Amino acid sequence: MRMRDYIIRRLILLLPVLLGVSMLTFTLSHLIGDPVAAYVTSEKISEERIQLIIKAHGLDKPIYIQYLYYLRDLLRGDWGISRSDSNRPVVESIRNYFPATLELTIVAMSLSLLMGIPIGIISATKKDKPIDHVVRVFALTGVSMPVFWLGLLLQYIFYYQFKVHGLPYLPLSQRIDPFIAIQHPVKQVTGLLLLDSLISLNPYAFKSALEHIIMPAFCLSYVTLALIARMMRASMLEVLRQDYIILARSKGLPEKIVIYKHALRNAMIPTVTVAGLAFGGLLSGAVLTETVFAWPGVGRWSTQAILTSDIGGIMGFTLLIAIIYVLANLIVDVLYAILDPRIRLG
Amino acid sequence: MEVKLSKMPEPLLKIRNLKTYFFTYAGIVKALDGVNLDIYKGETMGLVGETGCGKSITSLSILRLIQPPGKIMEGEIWFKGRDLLKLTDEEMRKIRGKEIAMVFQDPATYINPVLTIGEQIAEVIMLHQDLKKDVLEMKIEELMKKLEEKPNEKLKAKIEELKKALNNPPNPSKKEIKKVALKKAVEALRLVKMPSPEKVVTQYPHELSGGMRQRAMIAMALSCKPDLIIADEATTALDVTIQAQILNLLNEIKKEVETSILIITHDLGIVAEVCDRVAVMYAGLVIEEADTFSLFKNPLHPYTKGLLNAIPKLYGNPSRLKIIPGFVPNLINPPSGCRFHPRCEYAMEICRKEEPKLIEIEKNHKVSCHLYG
Amino acid sequence: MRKNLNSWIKDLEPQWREFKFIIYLLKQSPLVIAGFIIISIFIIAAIFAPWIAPYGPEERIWTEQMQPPSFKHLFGTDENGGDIFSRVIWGARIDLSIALTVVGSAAIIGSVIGAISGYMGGKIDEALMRVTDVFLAFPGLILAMAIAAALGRNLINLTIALIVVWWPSYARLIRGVVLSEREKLYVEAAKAIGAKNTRIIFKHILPNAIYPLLVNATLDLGSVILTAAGLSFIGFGAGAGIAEWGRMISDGRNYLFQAPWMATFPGLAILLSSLALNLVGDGLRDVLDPRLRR
Repeated sequence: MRMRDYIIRRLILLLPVLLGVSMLTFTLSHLIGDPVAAYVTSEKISEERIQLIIKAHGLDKPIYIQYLYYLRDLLRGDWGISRSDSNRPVVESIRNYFPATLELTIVAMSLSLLMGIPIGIISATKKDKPIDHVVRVFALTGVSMPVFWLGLLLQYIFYYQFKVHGLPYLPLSQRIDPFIAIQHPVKQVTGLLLLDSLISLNPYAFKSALEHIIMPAFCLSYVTLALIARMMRASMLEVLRQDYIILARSKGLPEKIVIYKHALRNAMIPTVTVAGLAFGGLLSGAVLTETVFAWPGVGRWSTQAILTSDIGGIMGFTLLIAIIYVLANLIVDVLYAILDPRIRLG
Repeated sequence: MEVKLSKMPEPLLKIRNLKTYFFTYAGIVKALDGVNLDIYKGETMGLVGETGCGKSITSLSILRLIQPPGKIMEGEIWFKGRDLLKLTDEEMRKIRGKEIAMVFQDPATYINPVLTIGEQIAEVIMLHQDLKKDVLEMKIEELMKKLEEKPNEKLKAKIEELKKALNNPPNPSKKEIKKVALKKAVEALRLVKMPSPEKVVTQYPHELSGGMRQRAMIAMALSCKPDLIIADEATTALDVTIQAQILNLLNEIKKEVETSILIITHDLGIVAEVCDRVAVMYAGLVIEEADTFSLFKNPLHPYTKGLLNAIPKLYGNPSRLKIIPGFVPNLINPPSGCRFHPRCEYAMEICRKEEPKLIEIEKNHKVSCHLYG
Repeated sequence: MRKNLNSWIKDLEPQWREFKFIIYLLKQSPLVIAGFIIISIFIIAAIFAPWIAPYGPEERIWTEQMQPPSFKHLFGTDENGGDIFSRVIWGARIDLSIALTVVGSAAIIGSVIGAISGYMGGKIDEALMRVTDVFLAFPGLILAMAIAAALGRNLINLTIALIVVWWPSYARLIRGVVLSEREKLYVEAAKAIGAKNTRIIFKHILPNAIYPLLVNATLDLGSVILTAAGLSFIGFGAGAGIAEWGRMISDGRNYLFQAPWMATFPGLAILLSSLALNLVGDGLRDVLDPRLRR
């Protein structure tokens, strides 16, 4: 019961922040150029049409009224036109590209968690032994690594060098082999190729999708993996110093239970927070990774939009990212409450 | 160094020459440098001393919970015929929580905040006790309740079958074990006079008051009916009124559960109230050991005298507080000979040179001081 | 005169001893020393570039295009015949100065805003915190992208965009310190003597903020280098042909298979400089954490 209240409370607090975000994108759209451009499909357009658009979106009114029109349009689903994406409506571009980014991000996040947490635990329990030093250096390179450079490095090794030396190599770009997509088409259910190919029992497509996603997902996960391992190690060390660990040992509990039952549950709390916050980093990283691997996601779309001054696209993307980020923070807060009864029960 | 004990049975716990050192950046801290202590069955023993004299270290050493940079260097801790310091880790683990249990100082930091009270008590029970029979008994009890509501032949037969199996109970499922353990946890909470124990078992530590938390910790210690409970400053973090309640509780429990209690404290008032015997520690050594009455009536060691004199009196003529001059000794480089000699008003030449041994002067009154031999 | 100087030096003695102790602790960790050496090499390279680099940043030798590393060209040459080794050194100038400018400005701006917000409290605090919330609602790279797009794609605007992205975290940090220090008794004592607000902030509260500020700044230097290079890689920031590390990787991408050295060495430079800063920052954090010291 308290959980439900807590979630409702957090959702309500969400509104002012989202409002503020929309204000920021609104301001940016006016700074970048003429806001009309967001709703215009091509250069050659008649004056009358321009006037119609201006009237329809209230762009002739004072600035605060304009903002209200802007909000109305957003809520109605009219986020403008993306010139860089063949003049598609922005919401359609998002619908096309978002699943690809979502899939990449989910796989990357899973890799980071599945590898990062155990690595962090091992590093903490074997502090100052060789494995600990290795993990610490690895974690450091993780936060210092230019993601885009790592991507190029991976491509060079696993595509080029492997190919040149006759080894099976990983594909360079795209989500799936176009031939396979034709011969063994995948039913579009969720837009997540791995999931969809499993649902439609299509092993060829699954294999191809997997091959294509490995490099970009690993590249994207590297930084977050390092962050999670680091945080896990630090918080485990912190927790293992706590008094209740001494009590647990004094009860005669085997060390394994002390670590995995008593220590871990406490150490997970700050780690979950870090993982959630790292989500923002994943989104940023996605922009770079998608560019390097020509991954058809929102990251790549956004770079194209910005480089070609596609105002509709820029605004749409920025708003989308902000909303996702804010939602991710909410999920982290909720997870936090699940893990820590002190938050839940006040 | 065997001490002639007059007509007392073999002690439950016998510590001889215990040395625990800490290897730090600043030097080797000789926290315990030859501690000797005896605790008998069924008694409440007090261990007093100033902060830093090594009381807590002694208790942690008994349970072998000393972590690096600390290390138990030498000594013997005889418990029920075995030297604890010579046991393997596995054997020692079996003793912790089951035969020797500990209650710590601050229930706020010593209880795991993310697990329920019930969970934390139940885990001790599940670890140390064989609950096969209890599970079966619980099942029988439940079925018998059902029988009362709706008697039928099938049920009666089932109950008979189960009763027969009591001599060789089957292996129960994890769920059943947990259920029984939680029931026992509730009983343990009842033992420590916890209000609404069934509710408390489902609650988290932060939902309880300080006094209730401390009772919960005691329940954890009691749950497997240990032979010795070590209460390390167990009441220091509580208000005086709760303190009194907890102390009384410990005494009542002692009789019910037949356990010995080692009370570690810096408060002589507590010692006077609940302890049968008391040992005084100074700078990593036990310097006097006696029954409480004798200690208070006739303190032998100058340090003990100083401690008792320092207690402000509520009666008689008001006078200045008597203090023990000097500073707490540095345990990296303790004073030579008797460690108390720099602060002692009776110090003699020999005190500087030779460390005195713990000798029994009167019946059951040991002291380590050159004034007495 | 003499007396004043002496007493002033005496005043600072405890700080001096503290400083020496910190240096002593830092010297204990080989990782920190390694980081310090590496970043010093980069700084020296950046400062003395005109004397160290064998070739100029835009120098092209049309006859020696796309050559693999050799004695003449330590890191090889690019498609225009530019010497990669020299360009990496010149790039150090750009990337390090961007990092310093961004972190310095963001720290100052953020600290002032955070200090005011924390000390004044009330409505001012609320308003300022909402503002930082909105900024922090965006992942850094993306916000910087949007701002850089709005302002125009060159290095100066990139710097400005990064400052805008980074100041909120300093505001939050300093505000936190001010809030916790404000409640402490010595502030009440100072007020009781009649000290003015600004004096309290500057003389008493801010010195306590120096340590976390220093740690964050060092770590942020590394992050800014990564972000700035990343943005230049996509196309914001350094224009074509400029010897900036991110840009060089983007240029080198076109020839990744034929001339991998073009992208490899600038990337290595980013990795090493960022790593070095993180090593030093981590070491500082471990040393300055009050709990871990005694």
